[in-house]
Amino acid sequence: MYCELKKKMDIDEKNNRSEDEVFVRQYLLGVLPETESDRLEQRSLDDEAFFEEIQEIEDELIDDYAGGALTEQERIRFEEYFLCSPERREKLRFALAMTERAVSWKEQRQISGPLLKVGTRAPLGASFEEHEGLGKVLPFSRSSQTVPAWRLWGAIAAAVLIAVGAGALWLRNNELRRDVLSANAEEARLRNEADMASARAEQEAAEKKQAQEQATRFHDQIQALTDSLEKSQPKSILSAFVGLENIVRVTRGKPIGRTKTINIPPNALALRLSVEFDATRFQNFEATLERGEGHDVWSSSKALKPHASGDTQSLMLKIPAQRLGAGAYQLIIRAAESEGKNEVARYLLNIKR
Amino acid sequence: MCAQLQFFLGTSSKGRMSQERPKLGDRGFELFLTWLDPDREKAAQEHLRLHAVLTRHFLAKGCIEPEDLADATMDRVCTILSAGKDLSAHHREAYLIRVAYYIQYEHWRERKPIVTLADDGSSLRDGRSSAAFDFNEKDNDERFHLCLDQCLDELLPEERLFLLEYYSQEKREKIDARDRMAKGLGISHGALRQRKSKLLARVRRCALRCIVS
Repeated sequence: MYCELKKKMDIDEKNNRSEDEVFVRQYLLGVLPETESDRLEQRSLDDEAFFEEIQEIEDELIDDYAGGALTEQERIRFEEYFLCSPERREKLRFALAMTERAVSWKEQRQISGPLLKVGTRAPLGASFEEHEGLGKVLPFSRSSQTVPAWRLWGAIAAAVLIAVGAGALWLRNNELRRDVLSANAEEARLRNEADMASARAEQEAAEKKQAQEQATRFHDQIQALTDSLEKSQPKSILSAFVGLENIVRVTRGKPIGRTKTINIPPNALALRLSVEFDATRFQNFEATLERGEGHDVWSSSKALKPHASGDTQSLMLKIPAQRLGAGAYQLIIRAAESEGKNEVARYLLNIKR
Repeated sequence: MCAQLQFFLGTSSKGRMSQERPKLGDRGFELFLTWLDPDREKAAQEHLRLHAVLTRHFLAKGCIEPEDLADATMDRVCTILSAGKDLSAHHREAYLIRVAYYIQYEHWRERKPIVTLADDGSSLRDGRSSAAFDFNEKDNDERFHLCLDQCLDELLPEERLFLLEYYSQEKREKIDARDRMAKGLGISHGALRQRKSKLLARVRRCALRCIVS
């Protein structure tokens, strides 16, 4: 039986049947091995579409039997195995009746003329050729009528138009393909450049960060060195002299005087300033150090006693170095007597640090 | 695989239809009720409804014991569920109808034909069928052909031509004609078969209605 089955499968290949169709036909005829049958049943339970296909193949098998298209072996299996249910037998009777009607219709058509057109309903007992000339023809119906010339030329023109259109589309397609390829290449190039720029930026950022870290390290080192230097150097008191040449004098209405520049080192605790001026009759003085527009930076806390030396008097001032930032100052010496505070001398100082 | 499938489908050599009925409390039956509806009361209602659907289905197929076959169908699903098969994704009624298809043919194959004898001793008909109409009976034959003509006439012209063209070929030419038709319509062989089956089912239903009216 299985050899017959294999033979049948060869025939089915010629009949363009799929493997599924072949198996289902064998199943319906009861010649499919039990394992395969069980698998097929299981699949049809799970797959509704396949189940419906089985029903359709069942109908086709019935049609084939009715049309005498089964092999001898198939016909025997069909009668002995397949036709077990009244439903199938009724289907077969129906298929036989349909075949009978259709064959009869075909014979009448061949006698009356090959072209069948439909469009109106006519009693089926009458010939189907009554439909002729009233409707469209199914694609599988063949016509033997001659084709009018205008139709032929129309078809040729349509074919030419289609060919031209297809050619234009092909060219346009090629053009678009090239554009796409070019755009892809450009995109790749831009991506590459963007990647490189990004890499460069990352590298620069890394270098900048490294430089900043190094600068911070250097700054810390400098600070540490400065601190250690300051610590290593003893705190000192700076001495300076401001003489008569530094006194601001008014000549022709203009104040004139030489500015005294004093460099104060970082470790200086105080500035000891010896101030010389022309001798006066006063014995008590006070000193004021101003910065900018009359802003007092420092002033003596008590009356200062002068040293007399010939035509000059001098005072010794001790100004805390921390009060002295870099910049221009005016030092003013006044007499501190009961009769009033007369300005005795004024000096211009430039402090550097 | 084979043994498992046999168990699933009840196709072992012991026979498919001779299984013991599941009872309330059986695992398969419990699973079956849960599959119908997690709510037990609704499941019971659904059980009754589907049983009626199956009974009508078997009756329409010409079976003389439709209720027993409806039971057998439900029992088969109990067996499938108790074997661990997950049916949650399936539409219940459609699944039962598919199982019923196999139950029906097991039933027909296992039953012995009941032949009613005519007075002269010749076999008259297969008594297994409860179908009200037998096309072979001479009186009915003429009526059947009239109904067939009438139903074909009710089709659209294209549909009628399609069916006549399909059935007009015989033997090997029948198979070639199908290929030609499929190519002409630009559809596959399977699609052609499906179209024909649906159209034919319409004509058959129409003809049966016409005969019993």
